[in-house]
Parts: sequence; C-alpha cells; structure tokens
Amino acid sequence: MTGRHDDELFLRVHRLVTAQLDGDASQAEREELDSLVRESAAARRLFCDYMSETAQLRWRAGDVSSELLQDLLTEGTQPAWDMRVPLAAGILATLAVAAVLVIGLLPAILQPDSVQRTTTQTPPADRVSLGVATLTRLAGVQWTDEGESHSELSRLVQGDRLSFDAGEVEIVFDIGVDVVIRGPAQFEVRAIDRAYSGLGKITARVGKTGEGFVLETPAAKVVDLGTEFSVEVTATGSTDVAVFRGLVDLSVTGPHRGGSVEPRTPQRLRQGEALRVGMNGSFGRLMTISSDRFPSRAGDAAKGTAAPVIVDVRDNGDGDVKKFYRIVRAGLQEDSLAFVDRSHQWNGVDEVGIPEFLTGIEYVMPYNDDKFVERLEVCVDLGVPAVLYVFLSDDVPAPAWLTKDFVDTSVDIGLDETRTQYKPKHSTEDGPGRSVDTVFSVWRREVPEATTVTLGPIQAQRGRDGFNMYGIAAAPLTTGSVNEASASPGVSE
Amino acid sequence: MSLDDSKATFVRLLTQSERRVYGYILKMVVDWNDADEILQETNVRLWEEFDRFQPGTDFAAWAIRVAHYQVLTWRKRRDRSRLVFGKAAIEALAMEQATANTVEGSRQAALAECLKRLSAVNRDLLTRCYSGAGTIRDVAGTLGRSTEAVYKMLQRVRLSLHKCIEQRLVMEDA
Repeated sequence: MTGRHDDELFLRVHRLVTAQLDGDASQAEREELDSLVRESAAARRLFCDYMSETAQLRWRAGDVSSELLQDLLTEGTQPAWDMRVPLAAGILATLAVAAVLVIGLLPAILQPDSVQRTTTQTPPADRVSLGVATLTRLAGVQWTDEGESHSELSRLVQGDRLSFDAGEVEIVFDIGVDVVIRGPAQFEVRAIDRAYSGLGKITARVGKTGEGFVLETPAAKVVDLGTEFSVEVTATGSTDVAVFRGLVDLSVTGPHRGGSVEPRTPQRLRQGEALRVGMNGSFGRLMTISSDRFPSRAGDAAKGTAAPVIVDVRDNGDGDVKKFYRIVRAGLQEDSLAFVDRSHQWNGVDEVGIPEFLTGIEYVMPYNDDKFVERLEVCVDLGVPAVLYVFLSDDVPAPAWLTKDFVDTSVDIGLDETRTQYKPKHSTEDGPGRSVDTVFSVWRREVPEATTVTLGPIQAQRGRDGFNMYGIAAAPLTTGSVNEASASPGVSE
Repeated sequence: MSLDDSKATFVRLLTQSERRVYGYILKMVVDWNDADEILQETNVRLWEEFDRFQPGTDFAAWAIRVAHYQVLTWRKRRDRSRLVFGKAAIEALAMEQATANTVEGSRQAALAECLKRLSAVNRDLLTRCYSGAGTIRDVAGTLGRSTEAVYKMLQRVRLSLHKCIEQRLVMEDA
C-alpha cells in the first residue's frame, strides 16, 4: 500500500466484500468482484490479503471453530471420533454419520436462537485482540495452588501464566508453533510469537509459518529459525537448550550483565547441538541427552523404559564442542534417525526389516562428524548387564579395539542416507530395504555387569569421502540374547 | 498410533492449521454461513481421511486441498445465481494460494501486533463487526449510530490495519 491508487483499490475490495458478507450485494456487485479478481493480478493479491485479514478478525472475534474441537473431544459427542469408519464401509454410511455430526456441530446455523452459541451475542470489547494460542492437551496436570487452572481447548491470551507442579501441557500458538511443557513448570504466553519460561522442560516444534518464535528464560533467549528444539529451565534459572532439527540463535539474558563476567556473543545452534547457559552468562557443554528427558507430543514415539540400559555417553572431546549424544530410549525402529547431526536413517537391509533382536532396543545417536576424530574415545555407561552392539560400516576396516573385544554377528543393518555434499543425489525413503545406501555389520559384546565400556575411533580410508561414524545400541543381557545370527531372519550372507 | 494418540495428533494439527483453512474457504465463498458450513464438512472429511495423511508432511497444505474439493462440491449444489465467483476466478484464487502460504504466519503475527496499536473503541468495533453477531446495520443499531457512520468507521479502521500489517511485513523483509 503505497499510494492513493492502492487505497482506492483496497476500499473498493472492502466495499464489495462487506456488502457480500452482509448479504446486501447486488448481482452487479457480485459480477464486479468476480471481474476484479479474474482480470487483475494486483487486485487478486489484495483481495487474498484482505480476506486473510478478514478471516483472522472473524476467528479472533467469533471463535469460529473452538466449539467444534471441544465437541469432538467431550464424552457426549464421542461418536464424532468413532465415525472414522473404514472407507470400505460405504459412502452412504459415511454421509449419514457426517450429517449427524455436522448437525451436532453447527448449533449456530441449524438450531433455534435460544441455544445458539455465544458468538451470536454481543461479544466483550477487546476480545478481538487478545487470544494468541490454544491449549490442546492436558496430561496429569496438577495446577499450583496459587495459579490459575486452564481447560483443554481454552484460548490463551497475552499474559496468561501456566503454573503446574506435575504433568504435561501442550499449546499451539496461532502462528503454528507447537509447544509441550512438562512440570514442574512456570510458563507465560507473551505474544503470538513469544513466550517465557521460569521453570520446566519444554519441547517446541516450529514450522515455516512460525519462524522467529522466541522463548525467553531467566538466563537465555532462544530465537527459532524453523526447527525442533528442547529447553530445560532449572530452579536456579540455568537453561539447557538442545536442537534436534533446524537452527536456533541462543543469546544470554541473565543478570551477569551488571556483574564481572563478560556477556557472551550469541551462539547459533544447529541440528545435534546443545548448550547450557548459566545465570552468570557462561556457556557449557551438554554431553548427553536422553530421549525421555524432554516432553514429546502426543502420538510421537513412546517414552523410555523403567530401567535404562544405557545410562550415559561421553567422549574425550574438546569442552567447547556443542554437539551431544542422544540416547533413544524408545528404541531402534525402521527409519530411526542414526546421527544427531545428520538425517540418515537406520533400516533393514531388505524387506524383512531390522533384525528382531535389535528392534526396540536402546540406541545412541552419535555425531557423524566423530568419524574424523583420530583419537576418539566414547565411553558408554551401562546400567545393567547388557549386550552392547556396534554397527560398523562395511566401507571402513574393522579397528583393533573392535575386533579385540567384539564379535561380528554376521548380521547387517542398513543406513538410508540423506543428501550430503559428498552424496548430493541421495534422499531417504520410508520402510525397510528401500533406498539403503550403506550396509553396516552388527558387532556384539556381552557385558556381564553394569560398567563403562570405552569405544575407539574408526579408521578412515585415505582419499575417501562420504563414510560414516559407527552406531551404538544395547539390550539387557538375557539367556536368550546369545545367538542372534541363527535367530534373525534379517541375516545377509 | 493408538486412537487416543491419533485424536491428540489430529487436534493439534487441526488447531495449527484450521484458521488458514478457514481463510481459504472464506476467500472462495465470501459468505459467513457457507464458510462455517464448509469448514465443518472439511473437518469431518479430514478426520475421516486422517489415516491417509502422511506424518511429517504439510498438514495445512493437505487440509487446504481437501477444503478446495469441499468448496467445489458446495458450488455444485449451490444456486449458480448466488455464487460470487465463476470457475475462472476460483482457479485464479487457488493458484494465488500457493504463493500465499509462506507469508501467512507473518501476516497473522503482524495483525496481532497491529491490533494492539488500535484504540479500544476501534478494537471494539472490529469485534462487533466480525463476531457473527449481525450485519453492519445491526451493529449500528446497537451503537446508536447511523449505518453509514459505522460503515465509514469500519472502512477507516480496516484500511489503517491493513497498512500497518503491510508496513510490518516490509520491515520484516528488510
């Protein structure tokens, strides 16, 4: 909107649309709007922007759909969810159920005025400006005595605080950012694209529309650049930030500014990187993050086991390194991510899939870039007697530390590699035996007591690019976990 | 995924994308009641077909495709003389959607910020005009003002809001 002509076009669109929405438009006005949209690209763009704004205003002022979702979730309308019948059940059955549902969900349209929803009444002033997020899930939440409680699908306005001692809350910000908070937590909604956490564990997924979302804590400010990340704010205010996908910018906001410690420059964290920000403004390394440390969305992978097999993983690397080892408690599955800093996936080498004895066991996502560290030592703390597995690429020779203590099971697992600078044409596919790029041999070692096992480096071949770090997995040691090769249908010759 | 997990996932995805879907439908039909009805039908269809949705792909884009077919179905049963747009305009608007997706989130955020800059009186006017409580004439009656006066006020507020949004989007790009 830069000039008089633009204003005139806007007002013309406004006049035609308002008449139409009020039911007052003449046939000539409808034809004028049709012609405008059809013949002028500029008018069409302006119309789309105008209607987008109109829809947002209507949504904010009228709660167009919150009642729909509420109905779908409440016991009284349970058939709404149960209506997801197989398509084979027939179109007639589907239409019949759909008709019942639509009638049930459209009280404002189909029912008498006396039972119409509140949107037909005079709305409270200012309501149009306030709602910025929707609370979509509560799981075992115990609200604090002094805090306000909220119900599922309630709208959250700027300044709303969520204080709870236990349980999980999931919020969807209107710009599409999905946030799961695990208590004890103190969380404040500050704007449509901004929140504050004084305590708690948080996982955020930010899509394209939500880039720029800001999460502030007593010690740090996290600016999301399109990603999935987790944050833990401790009672002292120190803040751990881990990035599982995409990028975030991390800066220091704590009270160090007036103290003796110099403020640190902001850090950009990439996939597979994490840092701890202390209240004195210092950055520290987070060596290991288990998958059950942070909350996950409903429907995502299952939580961890009661007695972890892999307790901790650490290396002898430089203390400034940002990358972390991720222990995946939910277990190895088809298409499980293999490394924290790549999107490669583990898969069965053929359609039979990942060998049964490996399926569902705990595994570690190391950094693929560890393959370059010549004197690498990776220490794996096992919490119980276990079988420790190492997956070594057939592209590299077996190192002495591996052949000395481990046995090659003759079982293989595949790596489905995503695009890299060395393999620009690669892409991943779902499921076993599809798009497997590199075969890894599965090596095993029985560890009869809880202890620490130290693994060494891999031996890169000179002049060869595109090789991979090894994988690590572990299962509790049982009498049945001895002879994988004969037990598994996934053995390749 | 259990049914409960499936429900929770669906609610989350729908909550994230429903207003964009609604915006798409309203743009196509320019009628409050019809847009509400098509949105409900679309939501029903989305849940029916949710087994076919591939996790990790763009739910909003999928939902808008479903909404598009619901709009076309609605047009077939609607009296042609009551339709605002002909086939050519509908196709042009559908094409426009592809480029609008990337800035939709920014536009929502900008609108939220710009609403805060409006006076309480102007926000109240927007609330009354877009809450579904009635027409401009009804709002004028409630406020004790003439229809023409309310219409002018609304026109001025909408233009001001739109300019504010555009300015914020330009600043964001700079």
